[in-house]
Formats: sequence, C-alpha cells, structure tokens
Amino acid sequence: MNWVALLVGVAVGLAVAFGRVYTELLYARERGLPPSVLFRHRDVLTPFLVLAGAANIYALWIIVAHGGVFKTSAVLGLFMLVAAQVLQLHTAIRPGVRDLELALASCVPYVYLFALYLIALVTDSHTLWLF
Amino acid sequence: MREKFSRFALLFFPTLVFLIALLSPSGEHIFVSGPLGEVRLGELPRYVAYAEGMLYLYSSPYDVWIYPRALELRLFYPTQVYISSTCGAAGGVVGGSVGSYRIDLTIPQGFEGVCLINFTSPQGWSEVVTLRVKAVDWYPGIYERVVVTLRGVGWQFVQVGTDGWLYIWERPMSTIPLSGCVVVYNKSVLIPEVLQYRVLEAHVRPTFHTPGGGSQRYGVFLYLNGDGVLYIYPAKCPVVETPLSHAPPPLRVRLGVLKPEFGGPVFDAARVRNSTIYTTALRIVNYSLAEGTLYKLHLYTYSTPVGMWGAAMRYWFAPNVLLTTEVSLFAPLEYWELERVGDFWLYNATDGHYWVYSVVKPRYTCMPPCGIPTGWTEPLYVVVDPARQWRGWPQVVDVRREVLQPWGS
Repeated sequence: MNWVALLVGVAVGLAVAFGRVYTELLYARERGLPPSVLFRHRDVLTPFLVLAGAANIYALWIIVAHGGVFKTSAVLGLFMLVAAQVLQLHTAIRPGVRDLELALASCVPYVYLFALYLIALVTDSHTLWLF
Repeated sequence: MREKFSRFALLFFPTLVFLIALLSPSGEHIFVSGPLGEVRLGELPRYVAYAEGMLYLYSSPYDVWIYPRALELRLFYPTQVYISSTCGAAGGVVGGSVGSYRIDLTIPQGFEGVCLINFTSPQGWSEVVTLRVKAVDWYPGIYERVVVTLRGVGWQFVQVGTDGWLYIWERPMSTIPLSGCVVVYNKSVLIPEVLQYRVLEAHVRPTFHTPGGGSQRYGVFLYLNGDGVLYIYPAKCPVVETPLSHAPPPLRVRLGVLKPEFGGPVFDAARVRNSTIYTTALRIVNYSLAEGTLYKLHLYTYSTPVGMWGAAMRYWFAPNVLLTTEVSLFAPLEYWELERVGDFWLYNATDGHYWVYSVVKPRYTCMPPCGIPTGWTEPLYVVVDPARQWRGWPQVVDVRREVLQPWGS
C-alpha cells in the first residue's frame, strides 16, 4: 500500500466532497429549504466523493507506476478514470436530481478494473492488462 | 429497491480498486505491464566483449574463471526465477521479491564452446543468455600479466618484489611493471613463498635488503634449461599445504680480515651478535648481524628445497688506516681455486661450487700489504651448489607486460 498516493487521493476526495457540500448550501439558501430536503442522497454522495477521489488517484498511480501506459487496456482504464473524475466534479459543482445515476455511471472504471482482475485470476495471468 | 442498490453500490464500487491491490497474491504488481523481468549485463571486466546478444568470455586451465556480478536480473513482479545452464556457469533459484539480483558466472576449468543460461519463472516468462567461451592460457580473473624470459641452466630462485624489482637468488636483476604472487612456468602454477624485506641503508647505493618487515617478495623455484618463459599474474597467492623448507647446512666459511696486532697479525673473524630465523613455505632464512672488531656484517643465509643454499651479505668497515695482507669477504674454508666466470667468482671447493656475485674479488691477499676497506662494501650474493651443476645467474632476456584483450567483437 502506497500511503502517499492514498493520502493524496483522500485529500482530493475531501476537497471535491466539501465542494459539493458548499454548492449544496448555496442551492439551499437560494431555494430557502434545508439541503437534506433538496438532496435526498447527500448522506451517501458525500462519502462517495471522498472514496471515489481516493480510488481515482490510487488507480492512476498504480497504472503509471507499473508501466501500464504502454498497454491499450490500461490506457482505456485511464480514460475511464479521467471521465469518472470529470463526472464526479460535475456532481460536486452542479448538484441535481440525477446525481445518484451520474455517480453510479462514474463507477464504471472500478468495475472494469475488477473484471480484468477476475479474468487475470481465472487465466493465471500475472498482469491485469490483457490487451 | 433500485435506489437502495445504487446507494450501496456507490460505497462499494470505489473500494474495488483497493480490493485488487489488497487481495491479489502479488499485491499491486498485478498492475505491471510487459514482462516480469529482464536480464541485463552487469559489471563486466575489460576483457569481456558483448556483441549481438552474446557474451564472449574466457576459461582458464588453472582454475574456474569467476565473473562476479556479470549479469543482472531485474524483477518487476514478485516471483522466483530458476536459473540453469548447459555448462554449469550459473544455477539455482533467485528472486522472490521485486528488485535487482546480481548473478555470478563461473566458467569451468578449460571449458570451450557455447554455453546457454536459462532464466525461467513459473508464470511462463523466460530468457536465454548465450555465452561463447574460449580457452586461453591465462590465470583466471586477471587482466594483465608480466612475461619474463630467462636464459640459463639449472635451478633458479626467482623473487617478484612488490617494490617493482625481479630478484634472482636474492640479487636484483631487472625492474618489472607489476608484481604478483602467481607465477606460471611450463603451464603450471609454481608454489610461492612470501617474505618481507626492508632496505638496510636507504642512502647507500646500490641498496641492499635484509629480511624483516617491509615490502613483500614472492619467491618461486624453477628449473631452467635454456630459455624459459615466466608469466607473473597479480593475483592472490595459491595456498601451500605442505611447506618444503629445509634447514640449511652449517656455514663453513671464512669471513673477515687479517688485522695487525702487536703480537703479529690476527684474523678478525665475524662473531654473530644476534640472528633471526624466518621460515617460509620454501626456505628457512637466517638473518644475522655479525661483528668483528673492525667491521659490522649484515648476513643472511637460506636453505632451498633443491639441494642448494645461498647467502647475501654486506660489510660496513669502520674508518681506519690499517694495512692487511688478507681480505676475505666471503670464502669457503677449503677450496682449490677461485676463478672468474663471466660476471661471477667461482670457488671450486671441497664441498661444491660456491658462486659469488661481487664487484671486488671476494677473497684477496696482497703483498706488499694493502689497506683494509672502509665504509660500506658492495653487496655480495652467494649461491652454493654441492652438485656442481649450476651455471650461474640466468640472464633476463626480456620483460614485458601483456594485457588480455577481448575477443569476438
């Protein structure tokens, strides 16, 4: 476990999550309603943003540090991670009603990586990057 | 329901990234791309060439030739790598964790041809290194040597000094570009002895050395018959298991000068004041400081394993104005004649030939009387040959330095 990558990831995740909390407050003040009424899933989305930020940074570090940038499957994963981070930033800056679905969509790279891992386990391969 | 699943999945999916790193048998190294490892060249000596994926090495007839850390195995994945070779140059299991491993190559004695070294991991990664080995008449692991050509007959005692001189029967004969303990003659490594010498009086030329703490000399015996070639390698001394040294025969010689006294001339013979015995693998050296009333004598005698013995000496005479009729710097007790043979003096004595290398005649009488010498005399070097077959010090024909050049590229 690389603690530096983990801590940096957690810091990034916390920053994004606090950004979301702040924008929620702004929206709530505009509408004159408490944020918990406006955003029903904020109890899950706030910790999700922290967790996902940490996961993004950690996965990014792993791919770069182990030379994954030379493999198509790893580059694909890299793009997905970037897209996921963009989606998460979007949910943080513009909280909306479809936040849950957007956040779920941003989980695609994690599922992708885990699927690769399962295939590697089954095929006795020493690497995740199959293609 | 769907919402519930989504809320759960949002907290579960990101943890998958950490799960991969934590659950995988090799940890985060499951993310490596490309091969598990690579084999690279390590620290190669100057006489090894590398061309087109092949290493060009040498083997020696004297010992296994070890190339320490010649290859480097770098692992990017925590796995074990099995090493095997077709000539026994390397073997075993290395690895286990990510990192770089140095691999020594041990080329068997006298091996010639192609040797393959296989690296295999259980994950299926493998690599082959090809070695081409040439047998060469060279002591293993050494980059340079000195080739000395000697011309002479009979047993010779050659010493390679770390002071840059080559000594034969203790006499300095030639400078040499480098010194070492391994001397190869006639395709065999000679048994060496090691003895330290110090300069007796640094300001007196030519210098004379006596045994004792100082610079080392590596001595070997060899039998010359005409031209002989010696190869000197700067290597560690081979181990001598059974020393060959013998005690020398008692010294039956006349050393001193005839000194005038009131009651008539008296022979001022040398009396040993203190002596030290040095035992090496080949010789027993007896160093003595002897004294007469007029002089001091630094003398060492030594035995050899070849039935001969030798001595080296130097006198210091006190300033005097005395006259004498006999100066005997070195003379056997009984001898028939003293003749000049080449650069040497040869006593034909009752117990063998006494060869003396000396600038002045080692024993002379004078009538009318002549003066007793004063100050330091020139050094005298003596070789005693009871078998009467030795023919004097050999000539140093040639001394040159050779460097082992890489081959194959």
